[in-house]
Amino acid sequence: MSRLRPSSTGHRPDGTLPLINIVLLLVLAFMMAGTITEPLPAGFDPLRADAEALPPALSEPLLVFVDAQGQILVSGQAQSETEIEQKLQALKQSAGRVEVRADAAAPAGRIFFLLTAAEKAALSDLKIVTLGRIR
Amino acid sequence: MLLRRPQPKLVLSLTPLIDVVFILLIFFMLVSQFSDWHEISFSTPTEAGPGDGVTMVPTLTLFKNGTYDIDGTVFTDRSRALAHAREVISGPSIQLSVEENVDIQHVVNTVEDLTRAGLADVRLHALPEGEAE
Repeated sequence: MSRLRPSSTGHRPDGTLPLINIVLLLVLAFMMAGTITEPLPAGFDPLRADAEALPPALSEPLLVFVDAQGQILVSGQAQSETEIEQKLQALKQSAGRVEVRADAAAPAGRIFFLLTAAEKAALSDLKIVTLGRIR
Repeated sequence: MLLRRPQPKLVLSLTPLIDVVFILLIFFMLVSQFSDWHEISFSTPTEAGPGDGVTMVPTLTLFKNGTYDIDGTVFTDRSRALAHAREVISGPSIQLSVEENVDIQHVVNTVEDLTRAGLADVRLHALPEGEAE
């Protein structure tokens, strides 16, 4: 009878393998479906509109955030008007792109300032981007 | 008559693999964004200056307090303001004067409503705060 008993030294199937499979699948899903971009500033409620989807980007744009208080932020740092104008001038020379992500409560005057600054710098590739409306 | 020593069995430990995979999972969960960003087109606004009052294009003014002014007639309700705009404006052009402290969402909503009402040519005009009072 002892022959029928499973050997205590034999390998049992490892119970963690399905867990690893699922976790690897999750990692792949996040890698494929998600986009790694700069996170939105804390308390940021993005502007929403019925707009066209952004075309696939060929290069990484400069992300400019405008918060509800009207502060213009680049990489989390508040920028003065002069600094922004200089950045746009530099981008024009390097044929860069700018994406403006504004808070829904941002003062319109700050967006107008960015549009005007881009025009002054002869930078044509400044986009105001929004999220779709919640239905 | 040499006795062979039993070879120790190599057991692959999965614990470090699980650790690394979990760290990767947490990293991607934290940094991935699934937001679908869209693009809106805004014309560059003209700035208020001398002689701006004289324009051939009808003007809709947006105020911070939520009221609308269409060539001197004040509205508090957007749908009424848009209906009035559609009645009095025959062409596709309208100048949208916006006080600089108006929420940008309010401007976007109005531009979209004007476009839906058939006023495709919306010209933005920045109005310094308090100038229209």
